Amino acid sequence: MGGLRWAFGPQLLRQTSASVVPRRFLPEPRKRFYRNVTVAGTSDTYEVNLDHRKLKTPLGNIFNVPNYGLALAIAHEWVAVKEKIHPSFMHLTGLANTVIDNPSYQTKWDVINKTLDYMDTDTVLFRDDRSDEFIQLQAKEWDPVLDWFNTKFEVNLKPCGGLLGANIPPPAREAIRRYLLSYNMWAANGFLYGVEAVKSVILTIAAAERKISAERAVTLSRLETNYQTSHWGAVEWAHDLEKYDLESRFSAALLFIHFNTWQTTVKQKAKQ
Amino acid sequence: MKIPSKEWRLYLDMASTIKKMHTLRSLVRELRRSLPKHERVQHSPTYSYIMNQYRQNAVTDELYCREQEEMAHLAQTCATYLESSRRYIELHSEFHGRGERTVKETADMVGFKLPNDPK
Repeated sequence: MGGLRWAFGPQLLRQTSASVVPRRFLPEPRKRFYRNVTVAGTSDTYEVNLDHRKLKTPLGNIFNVPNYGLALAIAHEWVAVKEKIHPSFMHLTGLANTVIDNPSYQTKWDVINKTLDYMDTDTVLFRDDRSDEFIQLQAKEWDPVLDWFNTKFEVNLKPCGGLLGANIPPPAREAIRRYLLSYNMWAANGFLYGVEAVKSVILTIAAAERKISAERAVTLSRLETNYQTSHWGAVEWAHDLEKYDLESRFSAALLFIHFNTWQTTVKQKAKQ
Repeated sequence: MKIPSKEWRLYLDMASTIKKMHTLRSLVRELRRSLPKHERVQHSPTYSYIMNQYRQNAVTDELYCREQEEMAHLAQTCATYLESSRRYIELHSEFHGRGERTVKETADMVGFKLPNDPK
């Protein structure tokens, strides 16, 4: 009887074909095994090819995305791999894999429910009253975004402090749900990823509506951390790492949303 | 000093144009950094895509063009993504632990040979 072996890709995949990219579930990251990355496809589906192999999702489906810009960005993630492939640093690839595979059988409604759960503990609504200076800083930085949000959705969310969650009246929640439901499944997953990164639905919607940039949203989300590090000093391998991690996750989420809701029309005037 | 209304638009446009050029420069710089040495940035499809998008959205008669705003925001988000993921990987590789020693390293430390090594 043989010993226990790690399962690897072809043993788990139901279909086998010559273009399978085998996946080993071993802890050592794979080395870069391809030289060129190309994007192929027609007007509605684009694929990414590593050398001659088609890129596949973890469950073995062929990887295709509906937008050319998105396919280019994902191809760029693979191009930027120097030696070892770290899938956890490829946020756009991971997001697309989640949507294509849908391993937990989520519907758009489930995804939006999960997103709305973060409303009760939204960063912008939770004020910390440890010092007057910090209370003023929170009001100065967060109130404009909150006011814009209240105006846009015609609700009146107020900041709160303490242990109980923010009191979101049901009409407000439904208004935000209707807004999120207007996006397709791809963009909804992007929203969830962004909300999970900055822990705030308000900031994610503000960034998706182009009111604040991605960097600004992450700064607003880390307001307290920045306040403390400005006082006590920053630790490079913790604070900077967290900042770049949040920025890359959040901007990846924003890119994912934009590429999946973006439509361009160019009208050319007749030349006289 | 009064500026005639026709030239107000020029002043407003200047500020956003400078920002867009700045973002374009960052994008191309990040692209160049991530490609391997022997490849030219100008040949890559990503570069042509970015340039096409900029050219398409460069000229408009409208005072407020939604497409331009969208493209500017998208370009800025892209630049943020490229820069932050590069810096994260740099920091991670600088501070991340080495991991466990391999079996060979451990054996070399005490002078042993592995079972399948030649004598």
